Amino acid sequence: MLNKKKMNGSEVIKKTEVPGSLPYVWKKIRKRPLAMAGLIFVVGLLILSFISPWICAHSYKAISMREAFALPSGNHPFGCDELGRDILSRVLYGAKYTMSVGVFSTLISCVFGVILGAISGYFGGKVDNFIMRCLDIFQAFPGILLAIALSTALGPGFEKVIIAMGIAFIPIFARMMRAKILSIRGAEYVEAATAMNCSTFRIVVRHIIPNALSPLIVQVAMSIANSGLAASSLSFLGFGVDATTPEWGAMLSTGRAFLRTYPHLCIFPGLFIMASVLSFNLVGDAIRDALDPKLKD
Amino acid sequence: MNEERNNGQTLLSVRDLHVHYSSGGEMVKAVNGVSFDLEQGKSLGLVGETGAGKTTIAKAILQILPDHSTKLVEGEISFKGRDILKISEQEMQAVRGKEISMVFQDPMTALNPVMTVGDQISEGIWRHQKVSKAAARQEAIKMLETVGISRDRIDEYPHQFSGGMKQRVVIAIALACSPELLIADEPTTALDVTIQAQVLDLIKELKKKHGTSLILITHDLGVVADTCDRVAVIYAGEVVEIGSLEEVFDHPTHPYTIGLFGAIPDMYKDVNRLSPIAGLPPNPAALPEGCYFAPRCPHATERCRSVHSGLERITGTHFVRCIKNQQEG
Repeated sequence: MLNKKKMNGSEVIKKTEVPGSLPYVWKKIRKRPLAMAGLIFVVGLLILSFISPWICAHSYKAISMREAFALPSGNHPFGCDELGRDILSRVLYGAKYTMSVGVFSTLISCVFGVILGAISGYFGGKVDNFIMRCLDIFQAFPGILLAIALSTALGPGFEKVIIAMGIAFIPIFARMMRAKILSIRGAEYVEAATAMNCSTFRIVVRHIIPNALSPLIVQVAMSIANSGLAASSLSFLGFGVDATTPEWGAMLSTGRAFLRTYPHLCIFPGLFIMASVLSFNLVGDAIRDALDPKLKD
Repeated sequence: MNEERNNGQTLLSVRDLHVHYSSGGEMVKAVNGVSFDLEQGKSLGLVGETGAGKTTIAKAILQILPDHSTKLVEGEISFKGRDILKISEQEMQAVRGKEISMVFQDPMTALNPVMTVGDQISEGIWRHQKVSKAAARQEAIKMLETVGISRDRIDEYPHQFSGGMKQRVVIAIALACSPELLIADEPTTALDVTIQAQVLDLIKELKKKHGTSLILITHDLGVVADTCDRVAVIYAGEVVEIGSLEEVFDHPTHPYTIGLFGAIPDMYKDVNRLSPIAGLPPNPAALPEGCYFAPRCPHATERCRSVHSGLERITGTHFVRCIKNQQEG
């Protein structure tokens, strides 16, 4: 009875065929040209951004008044801004600001959001009520308004923007995590883990959170795009990073004054903001589809 | 072999167990004074309708009742001579999963979908036996083979297994620490009939091999007949009839037990309709005053509706909760 041949006759299943595993997701993404284009754009831009001081012909901060408002040419492919600084170097150098605001602020909101959401969802009751009402207060303000208030309170500066954006987006993560954990908490395998005498910490970290990861990954990809965009909006409005930093939003903000006469001051940073947000969204979409078991090829 | 040696020793003794929940402001009396004994190496079947309180009894033994809604757990559950309702949570942790473990009803949901079966089996071993992870894995491979699954499937995920094999994995997890008492909560309800037989055979075989005692919760009298030494019929959170398999199956005495047997179609008779027990189980938030079964009982009298009967011995180890029998004997 215990040696049924059929039961033992299993074939080894390749890692790429396990839905939800990383190799599987990677395989799915590779099949989507748009998502791959997005991924290549983002990664390529980041690399270029870090090596730009060595590869660009002009420094991003070199002022040359003779070339102020120079139109795109062979020497300056994207032209020059109002102080004669090379826009191409500035756009490339600035990429890391916009993207790292996106990545790091998402990291902050993700970590705190997941912790708060997990506590709220798992323990429920008064703890849940307290945490959720606090987050409700945050959510009562539009995200960008909250970020403006926070960055005004914290003062200007690159790290301050990251913190402000990070805090502003915590409720989104916390709510999503809480909802997911509420549904997983009642699952029989959680009960089974309790019956096996797993500690609360182990149950949450090992049994519940891994099961809530797929919506989280998608939320992270989307949030990087959103907070990158929001960070640009902040600098555009004059909060956030100081004016000399070649952040894309800040470049748009200064270029706005010359929009009618020299539109290239705004066009290039604007195009890059659009392209990178689009890229992150495409990658996020692809990851979501790859993780959704109901969407089979 | 073990069975013989340990015969007669009481492993688990439940006395007057009460469990009440609160739900939407109402007090739900899920278990009302349940008592039974289980000898080492023996098996007891808990039979009853949905909502009779069978699973609650099991969870009360393991003390994994939901914190937020459980309002009262009273009585005595003595396991190997210790009242485990009185010991500290820390002491209970050494019992839970190691000395008493549980097989859950639905193998589709009882396994964590993002952990490999190997990790899930070794988790319990690793937590209770203080061995290295590698040793726990070796043990897990052994357990997997014991329940009839090839060792090279250890790194696969639950969705790669069929329903019956998942239940085998669940059983492997429960037996990984060789518990002295296994509580199986409807282990075959979610499986189809042929797989049911395989899983039951497996449980019986492992029980024999390891000398494990078993509490089998089910609503299928056929499963009980196949697996258990003793039967307790549960109705509205109390035992209405308890006895050895022969006593209860050959001489069902409580009208509810008789009704249950009557609801099984006879293979040799040509019947068009099943004969169910009329009515529904009572609302555990508003139990009737007298006998809980009186509203559905074909023999109920005025006295049944006002007097709540105790469990009375009929013969040997056969007890019934019905005033009709008290009068006669």
